[in-house]
Amino acid sequence: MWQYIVRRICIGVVVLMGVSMIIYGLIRTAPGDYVSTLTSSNPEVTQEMVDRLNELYGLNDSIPEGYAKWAAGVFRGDLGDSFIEQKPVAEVLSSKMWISFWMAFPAYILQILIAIPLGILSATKQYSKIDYAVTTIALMGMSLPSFFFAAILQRIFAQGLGWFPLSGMKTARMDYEGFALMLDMAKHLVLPVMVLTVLGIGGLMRYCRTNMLEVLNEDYIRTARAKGLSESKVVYKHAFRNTLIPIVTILGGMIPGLFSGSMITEGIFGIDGIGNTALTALRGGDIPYIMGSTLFMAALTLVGTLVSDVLYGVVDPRVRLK
Amino acid sequence: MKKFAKTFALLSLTAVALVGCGSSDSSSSTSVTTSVSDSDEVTTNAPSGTSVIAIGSLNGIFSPFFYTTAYDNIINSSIQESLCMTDREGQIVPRLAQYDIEEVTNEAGELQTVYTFTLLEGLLFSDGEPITADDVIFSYLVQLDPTYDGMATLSTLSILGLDEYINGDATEIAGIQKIDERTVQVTIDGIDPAAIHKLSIAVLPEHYYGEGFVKGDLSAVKAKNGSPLGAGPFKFESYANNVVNLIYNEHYFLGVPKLEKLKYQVTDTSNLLEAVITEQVDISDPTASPEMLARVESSGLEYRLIDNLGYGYIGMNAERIPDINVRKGLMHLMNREPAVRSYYGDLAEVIERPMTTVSWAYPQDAEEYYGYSTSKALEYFNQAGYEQIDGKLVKDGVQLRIEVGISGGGTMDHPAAPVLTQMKTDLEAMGGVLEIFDTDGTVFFEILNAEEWDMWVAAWGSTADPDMYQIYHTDGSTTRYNINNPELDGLIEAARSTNDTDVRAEYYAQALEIVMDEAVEMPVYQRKNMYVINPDYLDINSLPDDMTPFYTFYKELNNLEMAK
Repeated sequence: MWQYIVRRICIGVVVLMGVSMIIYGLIRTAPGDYVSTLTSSNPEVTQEMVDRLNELYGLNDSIPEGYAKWAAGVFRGDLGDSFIEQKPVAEVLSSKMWISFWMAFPAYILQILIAIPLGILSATKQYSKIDYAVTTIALMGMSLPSFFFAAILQRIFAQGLGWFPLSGMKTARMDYEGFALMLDMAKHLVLPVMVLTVLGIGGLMRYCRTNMLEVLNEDYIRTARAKGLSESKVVYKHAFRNTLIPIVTILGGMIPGLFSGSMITEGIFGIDGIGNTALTALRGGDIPYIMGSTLFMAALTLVGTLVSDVLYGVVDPRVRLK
Repeated sequence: MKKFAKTFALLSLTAVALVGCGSSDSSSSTSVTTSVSDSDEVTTNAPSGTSVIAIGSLNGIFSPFFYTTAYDNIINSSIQESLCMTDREGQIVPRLAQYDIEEVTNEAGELQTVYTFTLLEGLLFSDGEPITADDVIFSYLVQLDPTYDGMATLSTLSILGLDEYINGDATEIAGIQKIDERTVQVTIDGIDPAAIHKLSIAVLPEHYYGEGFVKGDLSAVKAKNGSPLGAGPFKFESYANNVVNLIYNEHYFLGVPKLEKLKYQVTDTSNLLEAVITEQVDISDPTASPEMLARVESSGLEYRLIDNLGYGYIGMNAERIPDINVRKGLMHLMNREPAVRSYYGDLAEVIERPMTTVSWAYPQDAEEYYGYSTSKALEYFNQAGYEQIDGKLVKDGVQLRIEVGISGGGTMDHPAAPVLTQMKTDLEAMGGVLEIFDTDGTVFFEILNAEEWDMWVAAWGSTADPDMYQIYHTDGSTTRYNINNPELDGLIEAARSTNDTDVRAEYYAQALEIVMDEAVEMPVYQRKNMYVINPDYLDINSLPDDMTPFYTFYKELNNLEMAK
């Protein structure tokens, strides 16, 4: 198994290099680089200034040259300085990662708690009214645009009922500290967590339902029923446990993604997370940050798939990793 | 596009640090005396209350020299003070220092301008240290450093000895001299009426920022970008969780601020009004539109409308449409009034010359140059040699075809969009073709910069100084019109070489006539921006009267007060 993990990591490094090359090429060829975004609206900027800035930000280098410089930095453990924030990319990532995590983690737990029972329910009652209702609601959640759903929640819970704050990470007017600050911040995260949860439930619920249905059609389920076991025992002991195998792998694979942030939701709720920063960077042509954050996310994805593959081996004894 | 125009306006408000125009010495000293006597009166009440202002996404670069966004600079302006500032009309007036401009002739017989800045007496930074001439010189040296990569354009001035400093071994700049503890003199070659704005920089404390500063290495100065210190009305405490925390500066030169704490809350643009309604913030600046105005009024909030520093226009590239008669014909097809009225209601007006009406140089009596008239348009097309053959407007067998770019978010959401659609209909009725490309902003400007639009719709952010060199002069860096008119170049250069405002206004009025006659830019609208205020939290009377883009409540933060 260790051999397998090491081999996967080695392949992962090669994949990361490929990913970073493609991304670098794409950003550099995309219209609107950092210096032109910065200077285009200021009529007092002279061409010499633009040239000097291009030189300072390494935008005069050719694409392979620029990539080589960036990659050399990465090998030394230096992701470079974000153009926009003028701070080391690693520092920006690590400071913003946690707030994104604390937004994504409760949503992750809630998704599990809601989606799995719903999935089982609609699988056991396939083609019933409950099944259709659950599937419809889940699909609606999946297909709602986050900004739209966020606006609805803000309208109902912040403006209408006044239960939760509209946006932001804390109440600016108050100088809370310690536990009160934590509570205040938690209150501010309720609406964004609701958005992420509802948006995420659909996929997980569908996945759970499909796998459950597959298991329910297995011969050993028929055997269990034929032995005269109660329906709940059949469903929860025999069927559900076998359904868990694919579910655990997908859930394990989702964990690293909790750190990657959500671009739109963070922006709407004024949360200074990793996703919104990535969006700003993308708009502003902040090459080091985009490179750093995509590398980070690509690495997370690779780790995610590795974790889920390893977990697969753990929960299913029939799978051997070589 | 609306968003772009707004960004422009904000950027221009701040990117060009302080703008305005030279004023006579007598008027400057009177305004200093009034401001000093003001400060004596307001030191009685202890500061109290916390106010929250909505702000856009911050980059956390809180340095007046290195910021890149207007939002970061709002934080800077709360913490820092400058030598001079602009008044409501955009003219330069003293702030931390009185100034004097003198034109002299040196031994070699060359014309030079000497700027003398004299700091007011008894000025202190927020940490209690005195503000001296050394701090001013230090601030200049940071902006003039060979490795300086901020947005300030001070290095474009022809300050004596600057070239030797930036490109040579000189350790000081000959043209920047300390006269005494409170006086600094800057000498530039020739005359440059815009120079005073660039010279009126924020004064950074050398004892704080200058630690470890040597020529060619600004890293020590930049290291303080996240923890600024200055002489402004408020002191920086922290920036965390998308909130900037400021506390009053007891040493503020215009008197102790009335608010104890001032906070800036990062708020998404889609929620700016809602944030005031839900009492999350006390002031925000949603995009002004008739619908927004109605919502503000129905929610019982106060608002203030302020002209936007900039204007919207439809431009043409004279190299891509070389025949001036074709351009004039197109101009006569632009029906602006209904378009602007339907988009903005009373929140914008049609303008007749390509300049923001806020500027002192805008000719207020200007009349419409190209009225909407299809018959006149056709007349000009005929003069250009186009004839209607088989329903097509052709010249030498080629049909008249114009490509126009607009950045309307894919839905033609733009005040000038109806102008284009009507033009398209009219031109097609004559037998010509108008292709409208609704393009994403970044791509739009990429194509514009490559000069590949025949015609385009955009907005200019303006500065208080009406200098037009970069936009219309043949050698201008941002000229997209390709006018190349020697007479116009002459006027722009002449206006650049005098400090007399009246003379300059006359030159600019003439220059604008030439620009109009060349038919390369149709001015479309001057719009307004809006501040929404919650009167339950903030004393509405503590905001300055008649705010203009040059003079908003940010210039009087020390007067802001909570509602009783």
